[in-house]
Amino acid sequence: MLKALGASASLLSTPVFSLPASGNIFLSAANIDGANHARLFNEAGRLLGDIKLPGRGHGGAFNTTNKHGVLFARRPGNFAIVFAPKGQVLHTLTTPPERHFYGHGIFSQDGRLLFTTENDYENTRGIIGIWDVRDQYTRIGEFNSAGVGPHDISLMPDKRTLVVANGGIETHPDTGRRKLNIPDMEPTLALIDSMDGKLIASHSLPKNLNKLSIRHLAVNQAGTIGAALQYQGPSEDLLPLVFTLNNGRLKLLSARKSVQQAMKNYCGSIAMDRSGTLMAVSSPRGNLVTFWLCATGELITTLDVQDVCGLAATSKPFVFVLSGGTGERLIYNAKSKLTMRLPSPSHAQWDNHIQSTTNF
Amino acid sequence: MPRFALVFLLGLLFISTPISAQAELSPQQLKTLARDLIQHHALPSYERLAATTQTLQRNINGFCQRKANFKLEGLTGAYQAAYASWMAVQHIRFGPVMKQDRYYRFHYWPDKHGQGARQLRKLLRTKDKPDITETTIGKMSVALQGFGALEWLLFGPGKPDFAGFKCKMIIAIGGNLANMARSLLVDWKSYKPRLDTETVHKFFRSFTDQLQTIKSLKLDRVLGKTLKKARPRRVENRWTKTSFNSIAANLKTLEGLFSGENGGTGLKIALESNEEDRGISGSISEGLRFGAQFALTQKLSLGRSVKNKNARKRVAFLSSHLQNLYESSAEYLAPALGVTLGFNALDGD
Repeated sequence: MLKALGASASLLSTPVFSLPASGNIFLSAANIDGANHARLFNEAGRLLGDIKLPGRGHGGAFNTTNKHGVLFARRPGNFAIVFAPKGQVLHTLTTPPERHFYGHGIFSQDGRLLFTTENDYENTRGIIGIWDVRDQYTRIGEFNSAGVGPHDISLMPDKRTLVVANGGIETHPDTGRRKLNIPDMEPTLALIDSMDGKLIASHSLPKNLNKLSIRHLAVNQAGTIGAALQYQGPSEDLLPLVFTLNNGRLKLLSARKSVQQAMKNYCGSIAMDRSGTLMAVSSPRGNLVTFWLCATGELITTLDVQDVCGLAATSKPFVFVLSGGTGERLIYNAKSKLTMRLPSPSHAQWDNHIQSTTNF
Repeated sequence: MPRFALVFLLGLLFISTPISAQAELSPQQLKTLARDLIQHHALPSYERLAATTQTLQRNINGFCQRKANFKLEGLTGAYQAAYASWMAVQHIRFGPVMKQDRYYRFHYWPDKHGQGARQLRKLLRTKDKPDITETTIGKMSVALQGFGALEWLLFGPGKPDFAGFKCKMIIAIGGNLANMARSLLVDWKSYKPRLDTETVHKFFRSFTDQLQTIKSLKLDRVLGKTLKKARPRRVENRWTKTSFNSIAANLKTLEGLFSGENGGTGLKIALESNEEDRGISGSISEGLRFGAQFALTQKLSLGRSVKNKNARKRVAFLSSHLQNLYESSAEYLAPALGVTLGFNALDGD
């Protein structure tokens, strides 16, 4: 059992533990010297590939079958760039008319399909776009996301069921990023059969918590889903900002008051560690990362990092890579509380998410 | 050179000027500023909202009860005054106004799907009409509760017929607005935000967000990229045709927030430390006053302007002018106030 530690770990600029050279590969959007990029790097922070983006990027996905990566436009963008392991651009996807990306997507287990969260904004309907990887990423269909504002998406351990975070917030390109339905939000976590788009289950928070937008999620090997939330109500309110869903049981997680306050009602990203024991949740407005036990929902430690948002598992249990808008990239062991700072290009602002893979 | 063009160019000049070294405010200065913004900017504005909505309620009740001395002109005038008061606090999206969805209940805008009008039409058509009072309406759809619904009922399509159920609706909405404004004022009087950076930053965000809202939602979204793509029905005040007045009221209150008002200091105090900053401060103040005046002096309504080849240019100019004000504020005022808006924290996803 990990030892609880309230105080934040101190940062060390020299390596204090090592990660294997053959460790995970990471993908993150970044603003480098004022330009939009996607970058591939390894656990030592070494740059493996650089992709120039036509606009600000957001999340990404890896296809371990054909070794393609993809980086999606930040909402309400319309592009997604498919690239090879060294960053060579292979395809540029564009959403169909009256659709835009929400910034996340996932490949099917066999690597043949790409699923993307999108907005059918004229009909206020969240959809999952389907792209045929083997046919030059042709758009072959779409199905309902069973909610408004689908954002993050992942595959369950059965490698067939999609889990979709429907944030519940209506937006329209004509009104930019303005949220149009805050009083009537209905966020859901939807489980959808990727074979036919049928809704398997839809989970909602209690009605009085309808302003907790379910935005990001992570799934461990046992099928426990962790969700990171963003509260759209009064800033003075203190509400749980994380939940787990295990075998249909939804459990809201709360930390002590000082930590809840520090999270500023806003979680930017969530990731499970390699072992599936821990989940890390970033709160960029609070410059804080919280680490929770998946099984019990207990908060085990916190880490202060300026403007932190990107999170991903490394190849070692309990160890995460973290990134911030200040250019910082850190490797953090949530068990030993040791931190290693990765070298970072000057003027880099790492964007909201880091995608991680063991095979690319 | 026309005066508006000169101000526009000055805006560009300031944007291209390198950022000077700027001292942050001391904790005591921040405390004074936060207290002033609450006591001399927000509170008087909410007091005015409470007073004007009460006057509106009195006019509605008097008019609908056919009392002597209560004419339609008085009612519509009271509506305009109350709405102008709302425009003076529309930028404040924190604190008590966010509780119980009050912000949206005062004015559900933009109402992209036209929910207010659709639900009102349905209600007016329904044979078994519900018993709507100022209390029960508070539990109905937010689109039915506030200024948007009232504007449609008072100034919207069809003949002005204020008998029966329509008057009942108007009385209910007027009462609801007055009640909300009254309780909002009570809550603001007991609201104790921290007198430090946090509160000052909230007001700063209110300032810059509102500049962007006016530009993007109130102007650009209506203007469209071409004459053909102009969307006059998207104006904020379609039925009263007073969208330019609303923008002027918005800019006037932002000028108060920036320059200080009612004897209190404003955000610009952070730009008082050296001559260059004072120059920027002066240009922002002047830019806000100019924008308000420019909006007020347009001959055509905003809806008609965007469909007129020449008037469109003036709408586009106002939009650019506000963008310059936004950029100057973000570039100079933010660091001077010590606002560090992180790349991820600023507008995450």
